Amino acid sequence: METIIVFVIVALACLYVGRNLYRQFKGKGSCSAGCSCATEVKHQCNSMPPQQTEQ
Amino acid sequence: MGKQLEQISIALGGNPNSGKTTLFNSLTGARQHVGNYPGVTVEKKEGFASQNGTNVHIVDLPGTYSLTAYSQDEVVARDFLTESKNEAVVNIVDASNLERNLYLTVQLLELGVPVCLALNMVDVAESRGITIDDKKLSNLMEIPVIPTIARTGKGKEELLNKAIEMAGDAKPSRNFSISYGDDLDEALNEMETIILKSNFLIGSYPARWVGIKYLEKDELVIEKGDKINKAVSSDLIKIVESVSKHLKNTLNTYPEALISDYRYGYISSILKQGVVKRSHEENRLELSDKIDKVVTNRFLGPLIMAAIIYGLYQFVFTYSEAPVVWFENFFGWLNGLASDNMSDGLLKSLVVSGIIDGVGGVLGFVPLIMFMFFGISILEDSGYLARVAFMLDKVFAAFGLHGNSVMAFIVSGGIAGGCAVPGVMASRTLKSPREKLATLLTVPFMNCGAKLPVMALLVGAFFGKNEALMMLLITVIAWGGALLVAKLLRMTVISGPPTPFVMELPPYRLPTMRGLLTHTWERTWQYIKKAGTVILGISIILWAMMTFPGLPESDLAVFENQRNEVMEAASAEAVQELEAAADNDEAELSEAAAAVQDQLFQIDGREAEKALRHSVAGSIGTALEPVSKAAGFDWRTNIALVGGFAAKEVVVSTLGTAYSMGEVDPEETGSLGEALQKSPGWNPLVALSLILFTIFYAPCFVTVVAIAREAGSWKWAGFSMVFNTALAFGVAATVYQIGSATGFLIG
Repeated sequence: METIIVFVIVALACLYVGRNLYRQFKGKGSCSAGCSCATEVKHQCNSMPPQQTEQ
Repeated sequence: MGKQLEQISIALGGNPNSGKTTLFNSLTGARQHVGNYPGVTVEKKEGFASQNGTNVHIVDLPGTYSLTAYSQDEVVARDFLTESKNEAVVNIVDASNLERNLYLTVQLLELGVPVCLALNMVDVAESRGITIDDKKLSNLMEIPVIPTIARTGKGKEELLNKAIEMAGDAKPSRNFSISYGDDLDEALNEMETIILKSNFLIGSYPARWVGIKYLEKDELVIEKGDKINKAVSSDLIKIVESVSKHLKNTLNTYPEALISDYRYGYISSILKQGVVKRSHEENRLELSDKIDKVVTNRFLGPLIMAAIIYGLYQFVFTYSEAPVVWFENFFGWLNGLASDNMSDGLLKSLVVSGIIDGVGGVLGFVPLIMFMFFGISILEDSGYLARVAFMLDKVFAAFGLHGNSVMAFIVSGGIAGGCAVPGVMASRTLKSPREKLATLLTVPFMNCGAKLPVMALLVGAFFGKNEALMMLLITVIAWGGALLVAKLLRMTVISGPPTPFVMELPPYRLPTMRGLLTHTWERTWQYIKKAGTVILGISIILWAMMTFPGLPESDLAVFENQRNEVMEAASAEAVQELEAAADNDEAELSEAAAAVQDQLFQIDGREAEKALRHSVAGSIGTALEPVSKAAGFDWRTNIALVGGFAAKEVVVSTLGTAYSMGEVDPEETGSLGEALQKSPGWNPLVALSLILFTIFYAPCFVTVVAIAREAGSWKWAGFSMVFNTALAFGVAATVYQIGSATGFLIG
C-alpha cells in the first residue's frame, strides 16, 4: 500500500513537472513555474478577466 | 456628446517613465510592476475598467519616445496603433518634461489616431515650479488635455469619461499636419499625390504619414511598400533620394534630422504661447540634478555604487539572520515531527528527505529573499538603479554592449534577486541584432533570485564572517564574467559596429512604504509559490531518482550481517540498553552501549550511501565524478547541479535531500549549511568553486527557451547551454586546482 501511495505521488509530480516544462517550452508557462521574480513579465501570465460591467 | 457604447477599446501610449504603467494600474485596478526606470513595459498589456455602464478595454503599450522603427517596442506600439481598432488613444505625457514628451504626441496625431492627452505628474511639475495651462495647450493642439496624477488616481475618472466620449463621437479624427519646410513639404505633397492616386498603403496609414516614413527611411514601411507595389515604392524612393541630395547640398542635413527639427519647432512654438510658466530660473539645477552631480560623478559614483551594494548585502544578511534561523528551526521541528510519527519506510523517506529537507531548504531562505527584494525595491523605486545603468553605459560600450543592455542585466539580477527571463526579454529594446544577441547570451550570468539561495547557503556556511563582502565579490565576478564574455562574443561570432545610446535619467522619487511592501511581497510570493509547486514536484522526482532502484538483496544481506555481528559481539547489558533506548529517546546510554550504537550508525551510514550511489541519480552523479572532481564536486553535488538545470533553487533542495538521505543519526540533524560544513568533502575552496560554477553554468530551462524565442533560433539557446557550462567548469576547475595546490581556503 505504501509503495502504491509513493508511486502515485511520484507519478503526479512527474506529470505536473512535465506539463509545466512543456508549457514553458510552448511559451504558455506561468511565472510561478518559470521564474521566481519575473514581475516585469507577469502581464504575460496573468490574463486579467473583464470586470463586471455596471448595470 | 456622442452616444455611449457598451464596450470600447483604448490604448495608453507615452514615453518611458511617464507614469504609463501606474496610470494603467490605477485605471484597471491591476498591479503591474512599476519601475522608476525607463522600459518597464516591453510588450503591450491589457486590462479592463468599468465606467458609467461602459466596459473599457485598455491596452498599455510599451513606452516609446517616437514611432520610428528603431527598436522592437516602438514597432509593437506602432503596429498596435495602426492595425488595431482603437476608439481612442490616451497619450500620457510627463508634465515636468513636456517638450520631449509632446514629440510622440505629434507623431500620434500624424498617424491620424484620436488622441486624448493625459497631462501626468502635474504635482511633480508644480513642485519644480512649473505650471501648465492645460486649457491653452488643448486649444492650441486641438485635442482634449486632462491633468492627472497617476500615483493618486487624480483625474482618472475625467480621463476615462473623455476617452469614452471621444470613442462615442462618430466624426473622424482630424487631418493633422505640420510644415517641414519648403523642400520637404513640396516632396511630401508630390508623394501624397502618388500615394492617393495608386491607393498605396492607405488602407492602414494616412497618405502623408506614409510619405514621412519614406523620408525617414523607415525600413519596415518601405519593405511593406515594396511588397505591395514595387513600382510606386520605387517612385517614392526616387523623390526621397532627390530631396535628400538637395538638402545635403543646400543645408548639409538630411530629411530625418529636418523632420525632427520641425517637430520640435512646432512643439516649442506651442509651449512658448504661455502654456508653460516657470516660477524659478529656467537653468536652475533641480534637486535630482544636484544629487546626480555627486552620485554619478566619474570618480565618486562607482565608489558610492559599491558602498550602496555592499550596504544592501550587509543589511540583508544582518537583519535576515534571526528569521532564517527561525525558519530552519521550524523545518527542523517539522522533520522531527514526521520522523517520530511515521513508521520507517518509503513514505517517511519521501516526506522527510524529499519534501521537508528538499523544499524546506529552499523555503528556509524566504526571509533573506524578502529582505533582499525590499532593498532592491528601494533602489529601484527611488530611481537609483537608473543611475547605475547610466554609470555603466560607457563601461558596457567598451565591452561591445549597448547602454540599454545595462537594464537587462539589472533586471536579470545584476545586484541580486532578479530573473533572467525578463532580462532576456528586455533585450528587445536593442536595435542592433548583434548587441541584442550579446546581451541575451550574457544576462544569465547575473545572480537571479533562484541562484540567491544557493549563494546564501554556501556563503553562510563557509564565509560566515564576511557574508556581505563575499556577496559583493560574487556580484563583481558575475558582472566581470558577463562583460568579458560579451567582449569575446563581439570580437568573434557576433562582431559588428556599436550603436549610439542616450539614457534618460528619471528624477529621484521618495519610495512609498506601500509600494515597497507591495513589490517585496509580489516577488517573495513568486518565490514561495515556485517552491511550493515546481520545486516541490522536482524534489519528489529527484527523491525517487535518489531512492530507486534500491540496493539488491545480496548487498542488503551484507549490511544486515554486519549489524548482526556487532550485536553478537556486544555485551548483553549493552544490547538491553539499546533495546530500551529504542522506545525512549531521552535515555542515557552507558559507554559500551554508545560504542555499539555508533558502530550501528556507521553501518547504516555506509548502507545509505551505497544505496544512494546505486540509485538512478547516484549513478549519473557518480558517472560525472571523474570529471567533476577537477572542480572539487562529488557525486552528490553533481546530482544537484544536473537538477539545477530545471530551476536553480533545485541545487539547494537536492543537496538537502541528498544529505538528508545519507543521515542516520537523528541527533546530528541540523541545517543543510551545518551538514555541508561537517561533510568531509566540503571546505571553503569547494564552496567557492561551486559558487563560480553556479554563476556561469547553463541557464535554467525556462531561460533557455526564452533565449531561443528572442534569438529566433535554438542554435543560440544550445550555444548558451554548452558554452556557459564549459566556461563555468573551466573557471571552477582552475580556481579549485590553484587553491588545492597553494592551500588557499582549505581547512
